[in-house]
Amino acid sequence: MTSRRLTVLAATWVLAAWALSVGGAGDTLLAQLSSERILNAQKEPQNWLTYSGGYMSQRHSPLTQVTTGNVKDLELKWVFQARWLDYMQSTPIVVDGIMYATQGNDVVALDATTGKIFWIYPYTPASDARSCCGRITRGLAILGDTLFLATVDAHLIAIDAKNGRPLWNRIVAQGAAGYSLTTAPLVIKDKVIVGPAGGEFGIQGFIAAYDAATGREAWRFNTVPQPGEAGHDSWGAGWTHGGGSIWVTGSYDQETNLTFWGVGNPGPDYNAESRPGDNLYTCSVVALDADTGKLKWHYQFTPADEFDWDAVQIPVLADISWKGSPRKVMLWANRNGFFYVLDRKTGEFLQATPIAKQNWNAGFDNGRPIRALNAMPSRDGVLIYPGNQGATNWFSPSFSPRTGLFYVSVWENTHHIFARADQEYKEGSNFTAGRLTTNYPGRGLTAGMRAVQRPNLRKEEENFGTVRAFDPQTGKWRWEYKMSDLTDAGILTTASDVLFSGGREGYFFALDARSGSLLWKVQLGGPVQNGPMTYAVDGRQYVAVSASNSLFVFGLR
Amino acid sequence: MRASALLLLSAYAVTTVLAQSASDPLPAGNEASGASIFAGKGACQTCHRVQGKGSRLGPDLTDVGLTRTPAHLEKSLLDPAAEILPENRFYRVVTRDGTSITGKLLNLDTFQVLMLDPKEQLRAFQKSDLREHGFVDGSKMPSYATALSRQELADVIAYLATLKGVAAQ
Repeated sequence: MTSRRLTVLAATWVLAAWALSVGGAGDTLLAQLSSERILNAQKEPQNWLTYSGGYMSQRHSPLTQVTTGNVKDLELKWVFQARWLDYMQSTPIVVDGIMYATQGNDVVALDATTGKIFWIYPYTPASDARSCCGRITRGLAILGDTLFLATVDAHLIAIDAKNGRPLWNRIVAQGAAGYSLTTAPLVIKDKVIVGPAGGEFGIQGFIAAYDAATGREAWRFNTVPQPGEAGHDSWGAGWTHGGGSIWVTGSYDQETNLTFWGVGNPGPDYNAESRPGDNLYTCSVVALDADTGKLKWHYQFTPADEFDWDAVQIPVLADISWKGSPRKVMLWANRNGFFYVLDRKTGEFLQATPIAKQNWNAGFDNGRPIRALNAMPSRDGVLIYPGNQGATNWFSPSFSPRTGLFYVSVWENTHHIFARADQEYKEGSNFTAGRLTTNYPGRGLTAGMRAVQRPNLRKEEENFGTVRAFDPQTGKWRWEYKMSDLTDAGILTTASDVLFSGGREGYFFALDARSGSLLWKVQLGGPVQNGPMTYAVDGRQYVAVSASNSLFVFGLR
Repeated sequence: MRASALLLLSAYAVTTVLAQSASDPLPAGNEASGASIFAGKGACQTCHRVQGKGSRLGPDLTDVGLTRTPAHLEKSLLDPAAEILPENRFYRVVTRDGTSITGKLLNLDTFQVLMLDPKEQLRAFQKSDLREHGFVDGSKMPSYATALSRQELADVIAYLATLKGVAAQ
């Protein structure tokens, strides 16, 4: 061996040793975030690599340092106070000690142990952008050294994760026409997948994949089928403004190479007279080939919806025993008040059970819901449970493979009186063609989308929020944790059987995932609005949650 | 009339109207007489406040002439329990030592009750420290259908209709 070769070998060895000491867990920590790493996210539980923590969207972490015994010892480690007045609905991503979060439509890179800012990518959406429910974004996606941001004015932007500089900026749709992007994108292999919100603006929805390197569109699936596409005949003339929005992130199953997305309500929301038929693929889950966007199967939760019951919930994938045999299923608590178990390979309907009070459904006929008598909107109005915001909504549920339970934040006892009205479509304007009223005294008790911070004066029979733990085998809940006010908080479970969630009351709390017993709580001073997440740096586990417009990070004392 | 019986003028009752009011319109009211009844015979200030005078337990009526029609006011006086807005709800707590406190509910969450107590003190109670707690059904304000004459009712309503808020100086 020559001295030159010895020198090179020694240098290589020194570099490798340095990498190990810095990373603390081997060379993966310094590697780029490959699609394989995202696929195997459960093998690096210290990171949180997608909106839901992994492709199965279970929002379940293998981390176990925080236990049912010591969770009471959590203390605040740091706070990120966003320069943003609206509520945070996003879940941050953590990769190798770096947290990527949002403040409004800005992207922020933070030290995950201290909250100190590395860089900010500022983004101001166009002033003519339209959004029904806040100019928010629910998070980011990452691949390699590139972050992907979907903006409220319907741009998809690639950002250098090391310095916050934009790499490409793709106009996905026209913001002024009511299209907005509020979902966290989903990266699968070399593509970035998003879809537009705008179900209240008469958009024509779609799910589209973009090449991660260039931003070039790779495929598109129309959630409101165009002429000549399957399902177009389920619309009549109303397809032109049929809605079918996308506003939470989908899931992915490697074995079948299918990506699953929930689709929003048909437009106009409250009057189906102009859209006779089932209005595919609104209020459905669609299973698409991740490489081509071709539809493999769909299941429609609410055909011909007139109640604004977007099927915009997280598709939770689970491998469970079903009637004695292993089965790959999808667990879905829907805004229409039912908890569904579907076969995720075929879309076969296996079971649906109520999650809250409902009066619109009289059963199922081969998986198709049977509309109860008189549960049809009229000009005079009809009283329907649940209300237009549903028995649950966009906030993430969780599935724990350890307990076998599916956990979901539920709104109980909500209602609306739905009345049809006439409305002409006007581009960029609200297009709902209906009127909502309630039987509540005054307006303060209405179960609305916005988590307004105000005193709670509601009685339980009017409505309340609760965390319910469902057994997929029976469809019934084993336990519940009731709150006085409603909740828009997602749920995180861990492999130490701790469940984290919160609500509009401003509490962030931990429950025993097996019993529902309260283990710990802290008041954060504003509504908790997203799914908590957890990560670890240097062997210390952290739990992050946003409340109002700030991100709070906790760790053990 | 006992002052304690005069709680809560629910200022927006819409569902129940006594047959008398529907078929027998009130006579024209006298504002000055109504003001006198409000402060005297009606003992309305026991629970209600107008321009800084009176109790804070019931709805503040300083601008009730802007927010309610005479018909609404008549309904509230005749059938106070027909509908009570959430912000006018009362809540009762019983502490561990047996003390019962009924006050105007200001906020309720899973763990706490916040209220204005009868002494008009802001009070916060931990539910875990209470023996029992819950909403008070209905309204403690009596119907004025018989306590006041038709003319007196008309006078009170005429007075309330003049209340248009605090004027800028």
